[in-house]
Amino acid sequence: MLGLAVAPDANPRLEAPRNESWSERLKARVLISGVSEVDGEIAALLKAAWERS
Amino acid sequence: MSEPNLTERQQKWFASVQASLERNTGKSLADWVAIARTCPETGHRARLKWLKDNHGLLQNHGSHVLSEAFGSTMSWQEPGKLIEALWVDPASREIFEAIDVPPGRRAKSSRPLAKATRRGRARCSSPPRDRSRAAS
Repeated sequence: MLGLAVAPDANPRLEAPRNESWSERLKARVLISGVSEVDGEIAALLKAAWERS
Repeated sequence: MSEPNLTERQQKWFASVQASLERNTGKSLADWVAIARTCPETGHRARLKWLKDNHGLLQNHGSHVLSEAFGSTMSWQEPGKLIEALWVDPASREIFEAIDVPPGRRAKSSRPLAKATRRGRARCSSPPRDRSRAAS
């Protein structure tokens, strides 16, 4: 589970967090079950989150 | 909490834990630290159980007392150790390493990032960089 400081509607793979214990700044989460799912979309989301943090 | 790098919110939370500890038990943190240091156990969970069984201290209060009494075995100043302790499962570690890519090496296409990151990286030496502000 990757928490990101982006809006959940930034990508269809994202969903709103539920009861995660991480920072309240992380507005979306994405479940990554394998390394093959770490693709360009995830990279772009990480970059977006970094830029707005 | 002497741990650096706590957010303001985290600092407030720990302060509230300490205030409620002292309010609810009538003992100061220093009193509880002295009690905790008499605990015959050595592991964190065992110490927590000992505090609960013998003194009625629950999880948050117990953890706060133990942190003050014994400190943490790991620190944010040693991110490599934290990473090693956290990412024990090889499959999960592989995902972490694929994500933990310096921005300059990040793939621009939709191809997986793992191939570019699994080779020749010693990411454990890097602190939770600025990216830690963006994701966890």
